[in-house]
Amino acid sequence: MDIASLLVQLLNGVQYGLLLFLIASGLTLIFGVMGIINLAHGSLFMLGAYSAFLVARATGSLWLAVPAGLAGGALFGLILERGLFRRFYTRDHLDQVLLTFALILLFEETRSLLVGNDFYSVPVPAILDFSIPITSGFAYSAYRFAVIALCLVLAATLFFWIERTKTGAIIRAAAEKPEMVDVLGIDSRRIHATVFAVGTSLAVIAGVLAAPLYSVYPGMGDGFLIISFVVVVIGGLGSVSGAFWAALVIGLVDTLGKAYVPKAAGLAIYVLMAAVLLWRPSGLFGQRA
Amino acid sequence: MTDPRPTTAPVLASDGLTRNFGGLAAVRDVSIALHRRELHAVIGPNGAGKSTLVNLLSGELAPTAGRINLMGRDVAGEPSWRMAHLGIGRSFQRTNLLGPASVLENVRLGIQARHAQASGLFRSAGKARDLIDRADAVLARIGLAGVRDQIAGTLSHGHQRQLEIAMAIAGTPQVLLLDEPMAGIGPEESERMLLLLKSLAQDHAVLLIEHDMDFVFAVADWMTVMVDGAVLADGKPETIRANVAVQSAYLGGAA
Amino acid sequence: MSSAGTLLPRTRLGMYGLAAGAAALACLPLIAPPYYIELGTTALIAAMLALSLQLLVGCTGLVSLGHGAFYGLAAYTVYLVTPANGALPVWLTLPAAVLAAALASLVVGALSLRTKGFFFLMVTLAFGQMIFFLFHDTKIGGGTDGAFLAKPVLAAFGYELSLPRRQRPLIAYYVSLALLVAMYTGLALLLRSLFGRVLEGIRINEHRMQALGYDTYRYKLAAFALAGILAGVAGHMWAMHRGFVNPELVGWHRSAEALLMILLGGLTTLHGPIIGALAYVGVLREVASLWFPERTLLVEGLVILAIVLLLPRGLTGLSRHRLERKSEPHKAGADD
Repeated sequence: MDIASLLVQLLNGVQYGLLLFLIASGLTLIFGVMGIINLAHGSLFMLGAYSAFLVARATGSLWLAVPAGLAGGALFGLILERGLFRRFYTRDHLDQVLLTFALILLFEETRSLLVGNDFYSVPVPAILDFSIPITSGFAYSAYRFAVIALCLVLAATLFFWIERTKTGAIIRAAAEKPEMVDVLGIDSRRIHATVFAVGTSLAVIAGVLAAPLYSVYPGMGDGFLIISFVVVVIGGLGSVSGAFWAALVIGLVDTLGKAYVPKAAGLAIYVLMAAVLLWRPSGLFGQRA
Repeated sequence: MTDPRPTTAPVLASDGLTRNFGGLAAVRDVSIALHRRELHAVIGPNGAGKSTLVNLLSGELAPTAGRINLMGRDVAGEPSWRMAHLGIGRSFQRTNLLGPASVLENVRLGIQARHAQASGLFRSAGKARDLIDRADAVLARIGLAGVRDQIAGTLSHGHQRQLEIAMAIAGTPQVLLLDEPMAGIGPEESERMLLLLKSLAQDHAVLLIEHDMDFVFAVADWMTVMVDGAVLADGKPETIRANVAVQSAYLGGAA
Repeated sequence: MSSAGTLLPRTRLGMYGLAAGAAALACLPLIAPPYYIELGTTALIAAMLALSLQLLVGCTGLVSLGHGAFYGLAAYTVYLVTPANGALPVWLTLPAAVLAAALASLVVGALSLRTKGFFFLMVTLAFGQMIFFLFHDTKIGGGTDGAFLAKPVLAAFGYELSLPRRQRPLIAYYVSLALLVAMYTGLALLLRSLFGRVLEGIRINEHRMQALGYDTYRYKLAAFALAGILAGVAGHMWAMHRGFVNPELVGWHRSAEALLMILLGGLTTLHGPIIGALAYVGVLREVASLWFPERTLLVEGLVILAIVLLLPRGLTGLSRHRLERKSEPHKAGADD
């Protein structure tokens, strides 16, 4: 292997890891605050990717899809939370699993009714459809750079929101001790709706950004959901910074593995998860199991 | 001033036991010794670390530092199920039963944990006469024979507190850790509980956490006073009553 | 709820009811056309899978999303050990399939049981998908398309049960039914045993069971491995019934469907999952594919949604079951 191709793989790994972070952070926040497991989180990612495809097909450009994805995702999350999820916070794990499993089926079927079951590629926005030369003989896709940048901006915003704002402080408190929120006299319903909307929005925007990179195809959410679970397990449930570092590690391990040891790569992340479970069952950054 | 202690070796003794939560020391450098046939009361204001101490001694929590010696072996850091096997029985401050199961089953499971051979895959629980007989004996001793077949979750509060103790002694432990067994029970029942505790102290080393000072001074053979996670004083009840530091730190304010 | 085997029928009448149900299933082939016999076999195999999962969910209180992986792995094992040019007798394929499922569930269980609740859900799901990707992304089992295999034959000690082609579905049906009855009986006995009572105690209040002296990890691992073995028996039966394997058998949607059958038939009885499986595979899914052949998944999704939304919370036993699980034991040391 030469340095240039290694660099490409490293950048790819970081970019993949950051997308995983957008999905996993929502998953871990929603779990941490509401204590609910959302198996349909991967389907939200899928919906984002397909909306990007539809927007690109209709307008010829991806640009509109980014703000639309953020806003539409938040609105959709709000509707889901108000209409469905709220009733399930105090229900059994089993009910939550089946509710969100049903949503996966419904989202996939809706997608199938609207768009069909074919693979579609989504063009990279024309303005970013070039490569940035880094060294002589090595250039990297401008779109991937843009994805990395946008993900970092979103991650920074998320961290600022959680670490530095009053709402964020309440969310941290709620994730640590749910009964605290009620004691403090805070309207927990508003917090729940907000967290769910933000989580959904992040998953949707991850899908929008991913569409030109991975194409769109039926069931694409499933693979990302499973990997995000691995991220959350390694990072520690409820921990956003844990999810960030774990996502980067998984992104790099998976990408480098697939590039250099393609035969064993599929297993690498699971071996990593098994090792973390043996060493620290509550995750690298987790406080509680 | 130190009161004389029994000359026999303690059944359970901790040495420098410490447990931190984050930066906070819930239990700090606690050395305590429990002897057979002795009712050892631990008192102290709320937040003094009494329940944490019980959780450390029973293996629910692993100590940050310090040793626990149980009949000659170091058991610090052993999980709670091993502690139970080694001879420690405990009750919980907040009633912690198998709610949907019968009273008999609650106790029978406690006996099975220590006295049934092998995994029990091929033995019908309904026909395990030896276990059931022992459970009945425990229920008779604790005074629950009359509610044997009731569902534990439907018992009166007083009966539930008694069942807590029945489960604690089911595995025939040498050491009994009782975390506020009288929490929330009436005066009539507490009279019965007093006799029960005295009888339990005949064949166990008993550690009792209790807030009712009149009760404690009536039953305790030995006392340890905890404040802010550390031992403030220990000695015979008379000594503790006379201790100026204890009075100002605890008894004066609370009583 | 009484303490004596709460998941079992409490009266003699209930036992007779179950026996009558089994007898009715045994009579079904006498009146049903061949298509429905095959459908019946599929439903019985689903019932075995759901029943094996009930050992974890209803008995021990563990919700696993990786259970289907052991089922699929067993079916794939039959494919892997069967030579291309001929069938093997069941006394070779069944132990192989069960062994594979047992080893896999032991390893996955040993790791995932170090966690609890949602962590457990996610970890079982992830490890299950690892096995899925093993068959989906590599060529060892025919890749994404799956593969055909020669069905194992009923043969032992040199005797082979040879039947005309038309009657073979009948044999598969009765073997499945016999296995299901045996599995139910075995689990019923297990629930009555000392071991079964410990599992029940763990479901009700694991924390207290530990304080009583039970190494609950080991009991849960035993239950997990046993459930994996039983899922392996079901998976082997699938290979024998269909002679075909594909990655879908291993995927987590299979586990979710098995959970649905449990919820549908009742969380609080051992026979509930059987009824749920027969109703779901034999009736619901069949009706859906007759009326909406293109949109079975849509119907399935709507049905599941309706079940979780409309299932009354106060249903007898179910509500108490829930309450019990919700009242988590207090955190040690946090309350003095």
